[in-house]
Amino acid sequence: MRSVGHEHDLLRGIRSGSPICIGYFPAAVAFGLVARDAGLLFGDALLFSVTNFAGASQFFAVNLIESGALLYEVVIGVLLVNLRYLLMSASLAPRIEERSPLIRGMLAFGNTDEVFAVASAQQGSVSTRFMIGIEVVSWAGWVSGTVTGFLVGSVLPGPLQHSIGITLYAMFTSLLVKECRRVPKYLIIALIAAGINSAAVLIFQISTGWAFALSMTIAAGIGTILTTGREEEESV
Amino acid sequence: MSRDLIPFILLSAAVTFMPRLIPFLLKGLDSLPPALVRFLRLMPVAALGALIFPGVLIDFQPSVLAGLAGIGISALITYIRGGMIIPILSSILVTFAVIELSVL
Repeated sequence: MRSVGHEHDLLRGIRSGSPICIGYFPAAVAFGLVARDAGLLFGDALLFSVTNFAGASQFFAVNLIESGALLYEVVIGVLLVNLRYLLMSASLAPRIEERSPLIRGMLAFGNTDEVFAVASAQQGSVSTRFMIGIEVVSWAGWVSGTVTGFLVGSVLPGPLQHSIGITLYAMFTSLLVKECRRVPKYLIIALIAAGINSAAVLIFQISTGWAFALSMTIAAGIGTILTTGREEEESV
Repeated sequence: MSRDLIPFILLSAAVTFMPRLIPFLLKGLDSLPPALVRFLRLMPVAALGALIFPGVLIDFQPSVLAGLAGIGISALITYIRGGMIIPILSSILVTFAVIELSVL
């Protein structure tokens, strides 16, 4: 079965990754717009998408950079947003056939939320070629969208450019509404985080990076106590 | 932007890659304590709340309403018909409209 599948697996991966690519493209266009609006150079925005290949945390990093956060604040915040990948990789890794640590490492690079979800839906073990197909096509969507967004941003009329700043928050809100439709209790956790973060920044004048880390950890901690885990199991 | 952003970008890439990489190289991480699993799973949701507020209130000063109207329409459209592009485009238009109106 494996000998027949080699070339096939690559094509199958590309086919499975195409919907991700199509989904990533507009989100990356939004990233390109936001990055340009925040004052990043074209090369910066491109380097972000090429090397990070992460949705929420790239937006978050740009947001923090724009607000003048220090390097270590950005790094800690990005790490916190991305800790969830430990879980996804831990779940997917045992099913990847590849033995070479180097190639395993390369496959790990592209294990985004969506790649993980699609790859996990495969039956049995997952071949290297399938993973390469799905990751390369997804990554291409993300990078090309970023380039497009940045270029589109430079031809938008001035007054409209200021309102582009809402793109970021509109996207976060859209993501949050989707999560809350799945598990209504999530809204409480998000509101706790929003409340603590607002108080920390607006009242206590804590720097944005630390306020973010603090509010996120406390809210997720409270959530861990409030939820039983059954909510997620039912919906996944 | 006058700051050199290369260190920000590359270190962000490193701390994005690390949690993705470690389980691919080490074994036994697929049996973490359930409470820790829940905590890590809730992180993105908590992050979204903190990412939206208070940022959306600060960025559109003095027209706080512009930001709120923008995320309001995004939430409403996502709730009714799903998707992401239409909610985002609508929120740009609504925010633009509110900013323009408040200038008048």
